[in-house]
Amino acid sequence: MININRVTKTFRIPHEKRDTFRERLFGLFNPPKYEKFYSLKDVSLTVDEGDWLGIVGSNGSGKSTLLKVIAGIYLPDSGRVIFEGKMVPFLELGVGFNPELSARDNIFLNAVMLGMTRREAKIKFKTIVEFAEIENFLDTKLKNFSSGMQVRLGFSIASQIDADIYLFDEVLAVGDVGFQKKCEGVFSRLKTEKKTVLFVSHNLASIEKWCKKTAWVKNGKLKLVGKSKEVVFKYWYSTLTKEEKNVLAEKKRRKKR
Amino acid sequence: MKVPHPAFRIARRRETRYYQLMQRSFENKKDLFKELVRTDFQLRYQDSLLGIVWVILKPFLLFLILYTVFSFLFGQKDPNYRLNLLLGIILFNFFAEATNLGMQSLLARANVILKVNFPREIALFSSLTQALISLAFNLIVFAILYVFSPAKINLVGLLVFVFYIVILAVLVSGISLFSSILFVRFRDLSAIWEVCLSILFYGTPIFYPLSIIPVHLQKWFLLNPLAMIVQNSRSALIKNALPPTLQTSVLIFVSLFLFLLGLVYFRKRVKKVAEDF
Repeated sequence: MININRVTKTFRIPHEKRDTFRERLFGLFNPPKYEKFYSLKDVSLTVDEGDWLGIVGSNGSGKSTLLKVIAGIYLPDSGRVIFEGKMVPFLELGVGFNPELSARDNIFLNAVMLGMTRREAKIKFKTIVEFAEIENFLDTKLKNFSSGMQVRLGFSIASQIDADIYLFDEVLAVGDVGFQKKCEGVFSRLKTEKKTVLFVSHNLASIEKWCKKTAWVKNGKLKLVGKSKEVVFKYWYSTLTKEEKNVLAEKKRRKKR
Repeated sequence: MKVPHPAFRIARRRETRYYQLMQRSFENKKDLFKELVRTDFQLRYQDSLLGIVWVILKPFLLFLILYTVFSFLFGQKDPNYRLNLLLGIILFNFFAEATNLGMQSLLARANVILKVNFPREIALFSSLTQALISLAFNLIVFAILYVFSPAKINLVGLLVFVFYIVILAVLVSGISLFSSILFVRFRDLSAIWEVCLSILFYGTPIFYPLSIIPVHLQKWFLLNPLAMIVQNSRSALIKNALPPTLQTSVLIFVSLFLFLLGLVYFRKRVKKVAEDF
């Protein structure tokens, strides 16, 4: 269970950038003007154990900030997040991947970073390698991998992490068709294992497919929480231009006739 | 047979799960530290021709330069000038390398810190460990030179020396706990620290003996903790002399105090600092 209670997160945006001592020294006489930017404003949300919650919203609406606050990477200004069990954030696939290291070393580095012990990583090593289909490139430096292969490797490691709560931030965007199918396999497994998942995506179809409930974040506020079908449709509808809406309305009218 | 109440069983299961998680998380942190140290070490020397040899070569070349320049000045009075000089350079090098690595440790791992939540101290201490590894290699060279010198080691002297290394490590950690945080917002710190280090290099009896300083100034000189550590390590290893008690206790107290204060500061600020990367 995750309980997000009235979380507010602001960022200070300086109007003039001051990074050096000189700028700061002269800046002492005219204090910098900061603008308070509300990235999250009084967000409350509860996700029950075993539930999948989709999160939609336009770029910069605060989805990633929300996940980072839940993951404990950002400290909220006020409010709190309570959860039970082990949580892994997948804000990016292949966190800590180093292009100069071999695939083998990167697997261990990334796995340990995501919360595995080295012992576990050793046990799961074979599965990871097979899943990513990189048996022949284990000692190749990661920089010689294509970006698709890197993501694939990242996801393979991620899929082997055992936790209770998973946070996915737009991790399905890449990969070929065969790989996407594999991802779906992992998701079904998580579903049957009754894991709790927060799922940020711009792929509305997959949100509808996997999540019963969806939250729509707009300008740092929860605009709507409810059944995925409704929320996704309303979000999608809000992105349409006036003409498109007219066309849609026209179509509806014709159907009725 | 008495069957426990189902609520009790669930509570029990939760408890064991919690316990397992704790245990695993501890092992994971240990492994993460090791992994970071290992990959850092690997990356550092991967594409250089001489690789790890540079760790030894750098201080040794400095040693050769300083020795050629100053041995005729200070070498005649001190039969152990060579050892004293090398030890001074090694300790100073450790201090300089560790404080630099420590200062940059958080920023260097910004990409990871923004994506996963692990105790940030691990990032800092894994960086400091790089400097400790270099120190270990350098001390091997020192040991070789030591064997061929007239100086004779005894156990007490060695223990005192090891003890001073520990204090130095605590001191360096204390400084880094502050500087790693400050450096994120205040990038000039690296330039400022460079100047501080060169002042410290000349302000510490490394290539000159403390005895060339007028006697009434010597005690002010020894307020510099690095000077104290270098001086006392030398007398422990080379003369097998015990360090002055009062001075050492003050040093221990100051280092530990700085370390604890640094830890409090670090823990308080580190979450906020993520926004400034």
